[in-house]
Amino acid sequence: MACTDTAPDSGSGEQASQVAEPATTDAVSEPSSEPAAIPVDPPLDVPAQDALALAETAMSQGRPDAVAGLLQQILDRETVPSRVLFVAGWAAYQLLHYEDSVRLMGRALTQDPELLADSRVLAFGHHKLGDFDRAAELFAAITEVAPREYRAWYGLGLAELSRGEYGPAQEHLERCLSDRPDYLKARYTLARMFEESGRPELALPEVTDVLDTEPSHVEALYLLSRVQAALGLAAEAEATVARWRLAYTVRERLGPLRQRVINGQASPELFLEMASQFALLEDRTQQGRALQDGLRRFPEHMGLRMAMASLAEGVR
Amino acid sequence: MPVDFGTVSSGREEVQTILEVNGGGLALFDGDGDGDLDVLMVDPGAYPESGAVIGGTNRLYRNDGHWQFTDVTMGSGVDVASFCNGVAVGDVDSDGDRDLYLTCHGPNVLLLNDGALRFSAAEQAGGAAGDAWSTSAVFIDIERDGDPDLYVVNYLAFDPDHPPMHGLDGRTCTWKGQPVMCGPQGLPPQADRFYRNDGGHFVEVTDQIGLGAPASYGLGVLDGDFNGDGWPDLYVSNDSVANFLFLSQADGTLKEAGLLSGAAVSARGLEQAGMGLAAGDVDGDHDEDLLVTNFSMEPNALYVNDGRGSFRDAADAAGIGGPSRRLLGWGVALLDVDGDGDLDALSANGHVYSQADGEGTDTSYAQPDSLLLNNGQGRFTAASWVGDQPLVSRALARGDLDDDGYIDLVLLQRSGRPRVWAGTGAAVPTLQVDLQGPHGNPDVVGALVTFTDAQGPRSLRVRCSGGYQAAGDPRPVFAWRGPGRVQVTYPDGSASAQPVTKPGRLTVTVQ
Repeated sequence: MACTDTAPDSGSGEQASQVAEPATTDAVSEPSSEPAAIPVDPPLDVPAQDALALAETAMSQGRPDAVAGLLQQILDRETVPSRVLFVAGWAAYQLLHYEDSVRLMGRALTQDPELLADSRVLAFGHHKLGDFDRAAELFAAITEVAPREYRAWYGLGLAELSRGEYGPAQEHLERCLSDRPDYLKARYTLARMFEESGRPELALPEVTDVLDTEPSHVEALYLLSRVQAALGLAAEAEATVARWRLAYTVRERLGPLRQRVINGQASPELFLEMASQFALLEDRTQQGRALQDGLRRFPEHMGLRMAMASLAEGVR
Repeated sequence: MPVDFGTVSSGREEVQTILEVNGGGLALFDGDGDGDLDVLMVDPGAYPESGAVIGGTNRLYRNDGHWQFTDVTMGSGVDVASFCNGVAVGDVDSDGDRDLYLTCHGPNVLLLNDGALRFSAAEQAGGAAGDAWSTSAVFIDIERDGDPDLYVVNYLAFDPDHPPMHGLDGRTCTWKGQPVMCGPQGLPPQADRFYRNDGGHFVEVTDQIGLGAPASYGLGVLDGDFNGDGWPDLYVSNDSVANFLFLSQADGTLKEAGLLSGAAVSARGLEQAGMGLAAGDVDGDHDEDLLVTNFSMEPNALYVNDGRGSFRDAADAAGIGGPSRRLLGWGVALLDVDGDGDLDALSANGHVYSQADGEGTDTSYAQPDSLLLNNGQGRFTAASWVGDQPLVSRALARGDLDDDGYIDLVLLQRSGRPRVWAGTGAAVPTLQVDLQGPHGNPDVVGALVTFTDAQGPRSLRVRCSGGYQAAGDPRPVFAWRGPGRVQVTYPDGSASAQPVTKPGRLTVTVQ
């Protein structure tokens, strides 16, 4: 299936038959011999505004599964406002439907090039689908118009790492961290870049930093084991592998729980269970986040409130 | 297609259970000792529920030369009444001809060759029958005593009469929001087994030899020397859990080192599907790297070897990861497709679920088989090729079927006609090294062949394993770059060398 960012809204689309060609027709493509016509971006009428408001509320409540239903009537129109496409694409990304996400957000960007500054999810979608060149191109464009958008610098670094371009990857990741030194994704990816490019001695402090903040970070634990092995620290690597194994097992238990939240099946007991899994890994930060997520949805639940109080007491 | 091998099937037309997913396997092997490759098609046949007539569907083709094959199944003994998936080739009884070991759901089958493509089933598979659902196997002389031992990969416990139509806690199994058949997760995995060959009879010594790893939904296996110490090692792909790397300890035992070696999970520390396997030196640093095919939205893994058995998954940077993300890979091969002297990658693809054609899956059921060309430094670029029509592919075996010096490919679908692609090597002449070994190891499996010319050395290991559920042509083939010297390092560590002045076939007889 040829996956282009300006594909007409064709519902489920064609059956996949080829690895997708990189999209070439969205707002950041190479200039062609004739200027590409920008599709009309219809204004948001009242029904669209209402639907969009509900959809954006659903997204803020962690309910991407509700968005398609809220926006379907608007999406079925012959022309769809870019903002509606954008939110629908964002929801699709959260639901791991990356081709849909790229298609919808790409259309949005083509209709309204002003959306570029907010289009990192589109770029991440391309990355998820393995189109690293396209992802890098988009992230680079975003950093041009929004140089303070640290997540775009992170995305650009990640895309360059995926392309094996370690120099640019380091530059962009360090730029992200200079703005947001606490951004763990960037620090982990920087550590991974150092390890992949044969510099485990530089990877070690970065990955250690990640684990100091989030002891249950599964990817960082594995990376630490690789770094320790590369540095000849065999016993330490073996111990870290054991920690990774425990963290991985816990994450596997958490996967279905998180999916139930995404599917709108959250319950107080679910968040308590998630917190207890993180307790196995002694990760108080993630424990607290799980309880906070639960309290945001169920603020009056005594069990959640007591668990949070107990955690805070333990920290003190 | 230069030849038609009929059709194969695996269970029912519509896949309803995980037992029917894997499809059949195949072996390209010299079954009659005449120097060319005969072909065994392992066809699982009917779904093996009680009352069904199972098996009797494997087929054997004798190679008569020049792309002429004769179906010699009748009376050959290969059409056993079992639901089988894969095959391994080895001289079990050390009589100089190549026997076959079929991996099946239920007892496996050992077919002893009389040297004329007539096989008789050994009682209890010579001691290696087992009673699991076996997927792949490999003969490997772990002890270096001259006869082939046997590693059998087992998948999971499955009762065809009571298929698991629902997942854990009574929930229907789902994938991308679609209800699908269950497994492997939630179904009981079965542990692999290792059998020592004691004069043609097998004795199970899995734990004693250090191969007693936890049951892990095994699918593929590959032999090689992955840490360059001269001793045979094993790599096992496991479905959705960490892969195994068993390293010989030079004392007849092995030790599992997958996670510590970096070859068990993805670069991000994620367990992946793990089906097809190939090994070869993709980056020209004279050690064997590992290529593993994975599930859709999981990139294939390219574990780059540092020469000492430490690996790093470099799939994305190598150009392997990106193109494979939307594909689900099975059989895979590293071979020089364009005759430029390096190893390219070719994988057979096709999804597990027909629901993959639904909305929001980011993949499809039928998929193109993919070719990636190597730039010589381990960087790959996707290329179109004559065989990239979308199909539901599974096993893949490689071999020079027409003895023209170029590697051909046979790809199986889950259900349908096998495809045979004749290699051309871009018309670059080749040097094929044909090792003729002693009884017990007529193909000299485990040897390392190094061809050094003016541009430097290239090495290829002699192995039948790899691909997926398949046994291929063990003869190394090098694109010709000019005269040079061929050195063979034998499984026992001894070596021989000789100059080579022209392309063609070099036959080396090993005493």
